[in-house]
Amino acid sequence: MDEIKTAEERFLAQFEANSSSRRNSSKFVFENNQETFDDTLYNLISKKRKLSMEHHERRGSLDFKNSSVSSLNNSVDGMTTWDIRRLKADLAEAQARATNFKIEVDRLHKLRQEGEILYESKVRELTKQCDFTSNKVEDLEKHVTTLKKREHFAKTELNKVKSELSKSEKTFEHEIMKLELKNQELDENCRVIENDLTNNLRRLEREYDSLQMEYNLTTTENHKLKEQVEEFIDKAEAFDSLQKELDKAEQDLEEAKVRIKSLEYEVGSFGDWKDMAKVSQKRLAEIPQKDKEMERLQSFNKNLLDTVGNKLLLEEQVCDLKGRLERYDNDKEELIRLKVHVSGLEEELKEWKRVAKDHCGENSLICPYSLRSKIEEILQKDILLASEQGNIKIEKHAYESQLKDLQKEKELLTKNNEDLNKVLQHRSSVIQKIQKKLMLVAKERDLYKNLVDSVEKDLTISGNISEASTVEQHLRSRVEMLEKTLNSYKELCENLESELNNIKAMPEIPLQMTANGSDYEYLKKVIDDLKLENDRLKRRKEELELEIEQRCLRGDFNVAQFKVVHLANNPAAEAYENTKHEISKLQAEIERLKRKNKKLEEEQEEMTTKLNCGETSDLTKNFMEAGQLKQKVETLESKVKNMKEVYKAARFEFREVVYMLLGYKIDVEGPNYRISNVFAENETDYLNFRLTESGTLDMLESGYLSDALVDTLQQNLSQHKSLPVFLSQLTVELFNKTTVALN
Amino acid sequence: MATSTAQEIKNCITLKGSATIIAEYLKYGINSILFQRGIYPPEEFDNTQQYGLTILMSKNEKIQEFLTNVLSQTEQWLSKNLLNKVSMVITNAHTKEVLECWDFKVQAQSGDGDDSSPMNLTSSKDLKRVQGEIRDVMRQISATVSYLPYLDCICTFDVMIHTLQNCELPNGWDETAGIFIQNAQAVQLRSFSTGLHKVDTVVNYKMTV
Repeated sequence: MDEIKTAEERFLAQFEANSSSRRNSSKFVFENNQETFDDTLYNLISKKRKLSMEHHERRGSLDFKNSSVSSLNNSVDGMTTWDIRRLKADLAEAQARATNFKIEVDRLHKLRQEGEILYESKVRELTKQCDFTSNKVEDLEKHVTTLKKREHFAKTELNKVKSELSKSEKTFEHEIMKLELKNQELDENCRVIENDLTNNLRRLEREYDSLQMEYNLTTTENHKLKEQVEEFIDKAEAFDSLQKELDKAEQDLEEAKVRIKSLEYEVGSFGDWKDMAKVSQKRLAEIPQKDKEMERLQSFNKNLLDTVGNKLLLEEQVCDLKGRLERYDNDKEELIRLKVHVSGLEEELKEWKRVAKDHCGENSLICPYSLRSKIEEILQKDILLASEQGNIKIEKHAYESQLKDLQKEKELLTKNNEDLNKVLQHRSSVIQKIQKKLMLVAKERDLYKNLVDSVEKDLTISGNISEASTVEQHLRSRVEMLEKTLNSYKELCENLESELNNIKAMPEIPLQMTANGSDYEYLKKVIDDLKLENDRLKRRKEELELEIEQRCLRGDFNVAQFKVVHLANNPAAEAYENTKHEISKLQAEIERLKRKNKKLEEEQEEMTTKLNCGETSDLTKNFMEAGQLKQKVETLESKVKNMKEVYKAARFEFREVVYMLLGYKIDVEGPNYRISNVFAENETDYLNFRLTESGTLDMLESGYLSDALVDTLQQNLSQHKSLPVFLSQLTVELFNKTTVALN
Repeated sequence: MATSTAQEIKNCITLKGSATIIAEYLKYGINSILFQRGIYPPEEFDNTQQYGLTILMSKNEKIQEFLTNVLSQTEQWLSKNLLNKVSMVITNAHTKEVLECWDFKVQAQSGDGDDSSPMNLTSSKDLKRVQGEIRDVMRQISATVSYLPYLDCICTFDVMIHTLQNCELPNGWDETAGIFIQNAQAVQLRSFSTGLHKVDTVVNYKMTV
C-alpha cells in the first residue's frame, strides 16, 4: 500500500511539474510516468495474483486437506489417535489461518476499491482539467492568430504610411525648391525696385526744391494781392452806402408822387362835392313845395279810392237789392200759392175735424191728441189682434200638425182593418178545410169501426168454429171483409192525397197570424204607436237641441238669472249722440247747399242768356288776335336770336382787341374776374379779382401771385394802390423775362 | 320645507289673480278687436308686446278711460264670481243696428287647491301655460278678419256685462236690454282656463247675403 501511495504522490508531483513546465516545453513527459504507473499497477496486480494464487493454493491445500481428512476419516480406523489429534490440530490451525487470510483478503479488497474510486475521481478531474486546458489552448491559439492578423494589417499600413511619407517628402522638397527659386526672383526684383526708388527719391528731392522756391514766390505775391483786396472791399462798402442812399431817395420821391396824385384826386373830388352840394341845396329848397303837392295828391288819391269803394259798394248793394227783389217776387208768388194751399188745407182740416168728431166720443174734446190717442188705441188693438192672429196661426199650425198625426193614425187603422179582413177570409177558408178534414176523419173513424167490428167477428168466429170445414168459409168471409176495408183505405188514401194537393196549391199563410191573433195585433199597434211617438219626440229633441245651441252661441241668456248692464257713458252712446248732431248739421248744410245750388243755376242761366246774345262775334276776333300775337312773338324771338349772335361776335372781337392792346385776357367766373397775361409762362398763371358790393376790386390770393410775382411788384402795388400800374408793371416784367429767355 | 312652501306660494293663482288675468285678456282682446275690425282708424293705435305677440292698443284717451272703468268693475265682479259673460257689441253708429257681438263667457271652476271656502280657491296652473292659451285665442281673434264680413259703415262699440240679478250696480252703470243680431252666424274660438275661470270666446256676426 505504501508503494501505491508513494507512486501516486510521485505521479501527482510529476504532473504538477509537467503542467508548470508545459509552457516551456511542448512535449509531454508522460511516457515515463506512464511506464512507472504501469509498473506499479502491474506490481499491484501481480501481488494480487500472488495473493489469489496463494489463496488458491491454500484452498487447494485445504481441499486437499479436506480430502485428506476424508481420506483420513476413511482411514481412521487404520490410524492412530495421535495422528488423528495431530491432524485435528493441524486442521484447526489451517482453519484459523484460512480465516485470517480471508479477513486479509477482504481488507485488501476494500483498500483496492477505495484506491480505485480515488483514482477514478482523480482521473476525472484530470480529464476535466485537460479539457479546460485544451480549450484554453484553443482560445489562446485563436487569439494568437487574431494578433498575427492585426500585426500583419498594421505592417501593411505602416508600409503604406511610409510610402506616403516618402511621397510627401518628395513633393515638399519640390515645393521648397520652387519657393527658393521664387525667393531668388523676388530678391532680384527687390533689388531692382530699390534702385528705382532711390532714383525716384533723388528726382523728387529735386522737384521739392524747385517747388519750395515757387511757393516762396507765390506767398509774396499773395501778400500783395491781399492788400489790394482790402482796398477794393473798402471801396465796395462806400459804393453800397451810396446805393442805399439813392434807393431811399427814390422811394421818397415815389411816395411824394403818390401823395401828390392822391391830393390831386382829392382836389378833383372836392370840386364835384361842391357841385353836388349846390344841386342838393336847390333840391332842398324845392322839398316843401313838393311835400305840399304830394299831400294834395294823396288827398286826391284818397278821395278817388273812396269813390271807387263807394261805387263798388253801391254796385254790390244794387246787386243785392236786385236779388232781394227777385226773391221777393218769388216769395209773393209762393205766398199766393201758399194762400191757395192754406185754404185747401183748412178745408182738409175741417174734413179731418169732422172725421175726428165722428170717431171720437161726443164728450171728448176734438183735438189731434185725442185723435192720436184714439189711433194709438186702434193700433194697440191692431197689435193685439195681430198677436192674436199670430197665436191663432200657431194654434192652426198645431192643429194642422195634429190633423196630420190623426190622418197618419187613420191610415194606420185602415191598414190594420185591411189586414184583419185578410185574416178573416183566411180563417173562413181554414174553417172550411177543417170541416172537410172533419168529414174525412169521420169517414176514417167509420172505417176503423168497421175494421174493429170485423176483427171482433173474426175473433168470435174463431172462438166458435174450431173445425177445418168451417175454416175455409171463415177465411173467405174474412178475405171479403179485408177487401172491403182495403177498398175503404184506398178511398181514404185518395181523399188524403187530393187534400194534400189542395193544400199545396193554396197560398201560404203566416203561422203567427193563426197562432195568437188578437193579442199580436194589439201589441203591434201599440208598438207602432210608440215608435211613431218616439220618432216624433226624437225629432223634437234634436230641434230643441239645435235651437239651444244656436241660442247659446248667439248670446241668449237666462233673463230670470242674469241681467245685462253697461256703463252709461259708453262710446256707443257717445257715437249715437255725435251722429245725431252730425246728421242735423249735415241736413242743415244740405239745405244751405241746395239753396246755393239753385242760386248758381239761376245765375248760370242768366250768364248763358247774356253770352248767347253778344259773345259769338268776339270769339272769332279773339282767335285772330291770338294768331297775330303768336306771329309777333315768333318774329320777336328770331330778332332776339339775331341780336344775341351779333352781340356774341362783338363781344368776342372786343375781347380779342383788348387782349391784343392791353395784353390781358379777362374771363368771368361767377363773381370773379380772371386775368391772364400774354406773356404768362403757363395757362395756369392768372390773377383773380372780385368786384365787391361797394364797387371796388379785390385781388384774391392765388398760387401764381405768391410764387411768380416778384416782391418788388407787390411792394409797388401796396405803395401806389393802382391796379393798372401794377398790371402794366407785371406785363413789362413778364415781357422782360420771356425776351431774356428767347435771347 | 321653507323652499317648498315658497314654491307653493309662487305657483298658485287666487281668485283675484284669475280675475286680473281675465281682465287683462279682455283689455288686450277688445283693443285687438277694435283694431282688427277697423272700428277706429289705425293711426289711433300703438304697438305693444304682450303674450309674445304684438298687439295694437288704442291711444284714444276716451277709449282707454272707458275700458279701465269697465274692466276694473269687471275684475271686481269676476273675483266674486258674479259674472256670466262679457259682450263686446259692435253697432252701426247711424242705425244702431248690431253688427257683431263678441261674447266672452266666463265659467267658474273649482281649481285644485284648498276648496274649503268658495272665496279662497286656488289653482296651481302655470301662468306661462295660461298665457300661452290666451296667446292662441288672441291669434284666432286676429285671424277672424279673414271670414268676418267687412264693416263698411261707421261703427261704434259697447261693452255689456251679464251679471247675476242680485248684483249691485255702482254709479254710472245702467241696466240695458239684451242684444239680438238678425240672421246671425256664430263662431266659437278657442277657450282658455286659469283653473278658476274658464273663458270661451264666441263671435256672433250678421250674415250678409
